[in-house]
Amino acid sequence: MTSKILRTSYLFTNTLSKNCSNFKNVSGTIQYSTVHAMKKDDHKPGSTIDQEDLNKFTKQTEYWWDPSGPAKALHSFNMIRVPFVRDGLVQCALNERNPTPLKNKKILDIGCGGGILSEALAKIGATVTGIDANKDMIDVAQRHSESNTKLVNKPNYCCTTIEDHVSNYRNYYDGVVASEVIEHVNNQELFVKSCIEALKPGGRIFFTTPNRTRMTQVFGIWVAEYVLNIVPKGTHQYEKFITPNELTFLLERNNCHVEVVYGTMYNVLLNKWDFVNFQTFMYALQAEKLEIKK
Amino acid sequence: MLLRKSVHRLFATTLKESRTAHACRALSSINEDNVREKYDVIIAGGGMVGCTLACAMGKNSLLSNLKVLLLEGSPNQTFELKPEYSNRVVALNQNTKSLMNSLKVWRHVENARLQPVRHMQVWDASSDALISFNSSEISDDDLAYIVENDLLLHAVNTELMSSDIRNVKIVYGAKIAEYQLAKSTKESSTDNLVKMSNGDVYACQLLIGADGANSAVRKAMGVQYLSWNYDQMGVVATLHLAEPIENNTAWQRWLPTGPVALLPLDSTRSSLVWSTWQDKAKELLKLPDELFVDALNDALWKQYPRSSSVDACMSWLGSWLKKAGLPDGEARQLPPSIMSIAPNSRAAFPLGFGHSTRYVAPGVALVGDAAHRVHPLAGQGVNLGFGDVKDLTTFLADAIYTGCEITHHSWLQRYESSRQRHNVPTQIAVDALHRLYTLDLPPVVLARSLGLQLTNALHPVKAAVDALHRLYTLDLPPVVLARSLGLQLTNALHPVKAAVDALHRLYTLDLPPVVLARSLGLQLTNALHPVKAAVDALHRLYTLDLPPVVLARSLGLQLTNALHPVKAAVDALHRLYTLDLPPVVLARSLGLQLTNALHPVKAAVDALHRLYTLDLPPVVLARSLGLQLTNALHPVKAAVDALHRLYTLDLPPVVLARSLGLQLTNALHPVKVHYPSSTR
Repeated sequence: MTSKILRTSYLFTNTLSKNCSNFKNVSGTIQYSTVHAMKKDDHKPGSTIDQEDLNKFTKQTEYWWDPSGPAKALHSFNMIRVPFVRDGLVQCALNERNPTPLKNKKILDIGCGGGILSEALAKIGATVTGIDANKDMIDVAQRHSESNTKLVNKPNYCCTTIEDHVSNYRNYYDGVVASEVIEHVNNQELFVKSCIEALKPGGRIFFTTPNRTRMTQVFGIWVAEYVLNIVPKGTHQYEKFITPNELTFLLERNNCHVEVVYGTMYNVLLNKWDFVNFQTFMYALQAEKLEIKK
Repeated sequence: MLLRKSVHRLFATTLKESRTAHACRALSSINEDNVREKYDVIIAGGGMVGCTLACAMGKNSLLSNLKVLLLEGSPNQTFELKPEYSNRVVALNQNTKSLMNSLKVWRHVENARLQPVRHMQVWDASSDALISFNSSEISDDDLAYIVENDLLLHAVNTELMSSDIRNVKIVYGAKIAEYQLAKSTKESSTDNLVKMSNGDVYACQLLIGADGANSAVRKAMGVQYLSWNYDQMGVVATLHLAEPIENNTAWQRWLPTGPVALLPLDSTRSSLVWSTWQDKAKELLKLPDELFVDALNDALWKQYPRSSSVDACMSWLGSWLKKAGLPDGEARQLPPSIMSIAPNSRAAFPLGFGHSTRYVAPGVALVGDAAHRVHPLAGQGVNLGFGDVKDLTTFLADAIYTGCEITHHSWLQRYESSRQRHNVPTQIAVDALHRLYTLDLPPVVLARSLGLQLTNALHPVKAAVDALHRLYTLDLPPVVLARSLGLQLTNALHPVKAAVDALHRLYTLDLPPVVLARSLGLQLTNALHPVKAAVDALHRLYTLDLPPVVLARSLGLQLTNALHPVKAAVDALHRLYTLDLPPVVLARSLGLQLTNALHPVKAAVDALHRLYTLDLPPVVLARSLGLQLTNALHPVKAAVDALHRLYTLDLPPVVLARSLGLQLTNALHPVKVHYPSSTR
């Protein structure tokens, strides 16, 4: 327990000092080293998996698909992230729309969890591959997709990590989605690099994640997890959050062009998500992988 | 936790009630084995709105994959264009025209017959007040189009039957015995079942009630329906004019009994809509044709008894307007005189107001008159219905494009919200107009006459108001008139409406987290405000690169660092919520207790909630209008007032009464003492 306390306080002061360094230097190198410094010592290098984080999700498996259960915010999040991914990949005139706009689009859903987003994307025609490092979550996703008779175009699920998956699927996907994942990952640099390797040149990558601000620390973690209990306790760790600037930097280092960054906001009262013009709490980011290699 | 539990307990009763309602509905179970066919959508009611909805669903590229069934109670009638006009006509606005154009229905109407309205003159029988609208002043487009109901229905049906639409099946002569609405559970939701009187059962995901003001679908939904009767009837007839004219003006005269309106049909014919009290309407129906024409000409021309003071004020205003070079309403056009009426064209229908507090339920939606009903004085009823069609198809298409079920509550709620935001103010404005003009009290007459006259004189204002209005809704000028008349209810309601709407939604959701959240919501929102500002300021501070700012923030950081206690406090807070040691848990539980201590607030919120879940129509109306507070205060105020009067009057009987009352109350001491304990 003592070691845990020590670590927490270390991380806490660490983040404070990190922020200070961020503010002093806007140049990329420092930011890179900041991101790099997030890698914890007690994990093998070269893995993006945080075992502690993974175990947290195992506890939630039974409630995953209950639209009014603990994961209800993820269910309602589909109302804006499905259009976000859809409109990022295809633009269609009002009178030419069809129910499967993402037909023939191959999409990789990283950290698919119980498959809430994977199934929603498969429903509008996409060929979805959902990967998650948590075997229990993949089982939940697999079972639900098999029992869902309304879903004809079923996603493929695979229990693997992105860095393992990408070795077989390089330059393969039209779209890569990492929704609420990067904040649970170790070695975010390797994670982003692997995501982009899986993407075809000209393909698009989509992130949604909390921003690292005091507001998310107070409202996203303390209030949401410990006071209101709308997010399971321990879901998020402040020090693992990434700011849009840091993420943009990681993407641009990997030959991507960031096209849009929207702020997103969850209305707890109405269980409704909205795009907003401030990124204080959470944001959604879309980037294109460029054709020309460096 | 404790707070959550108590909220749970509070709402357990409400939840139970709603469950019993469900169970009652389920009692009349329809055997699901009899289901003959399954559809995605069933539209109950094949009137103008229902058929247009079916047509829109057939034409929309996203919705044309849905299996749609249209149930119409009457047999399939063959339509032929008769030389004599039908007595039931509608005034379609530009919004409706563009909807019909997009469905390719408008060309059928244009090929048959329609009459554009380019001018409109409205005047008051109790004074000289007048207002006129010309299409050239407003947007250089027609104000409205007069189309016969059955011609419009035929045009929609022609398009519905065409080879473009393959997914719509129509059953004519459909007699619906009962509805069994969908029950949604956590896991799945059942279909809506529609049982026909011949024993057939149809199942569908989404049931749409387009079955008119007495909607059976709405009754099955069990929603609150706020309605009243105007005790008026609309008398309709087709009129022959005395001489052929360029007939593109709509005339409306406000009689003390209600408005009489002439809508142009062609150069020699007009359609009559005469709203009047029920007994008067019945008399009018019984009159021989010649006497009816006399009565009508009377209504259009007769001088009604006037108040001299109103007239004096009006002529004073007129002279001032003339001096200012503004139109004083003297130069008025005269309505055509009526020669005869088309034989057997007289009919009457009752007028009323209706508003369904919910337009949607799980798997069910209402459109058109099933959801709302208005007085025909502004010709808005059917246009509101076509607006419903347009929005509903847009939202359903959006749901499918996002990969959701068409019954997804999120989109159905958006439909309800967007339509109520438009329909309710219009309904209220029309109702207010009706009330304003059926009153004959001189001050009211004066107010409305001055308002009308001024509005007419202030052309630029009128144009601006109109342009603004069109910008929002492209509606018929009578609604503009309503705003200009100083009612401005619609305008004033806008922010209130949005707030009331959000509040309504917030307070009608019964999910425990929402209940908890809304109890806390007020505090939180309030608390968030300064925090947000502070965070924003911090952000600005750190994104500016001006030397002084950099210096300031460097100093600030140093200072913050120096402010060890602050940092320590923040750290302690962090530890408090990340540690699982028993004392820490205890400390933060105590903190939660504190939240619980906000008991009075909770109680107040609860009381407000109860107010909002009362099913009495007046309460519903009051809260829709944002007047709930006034309403709540009323009895209290009255009681306090009565008490005050009781004790300030010195009349012997009053003194006696209050003395006796006090004495009695005092005497009933044991009752007073035991009453609370016995209820506990």
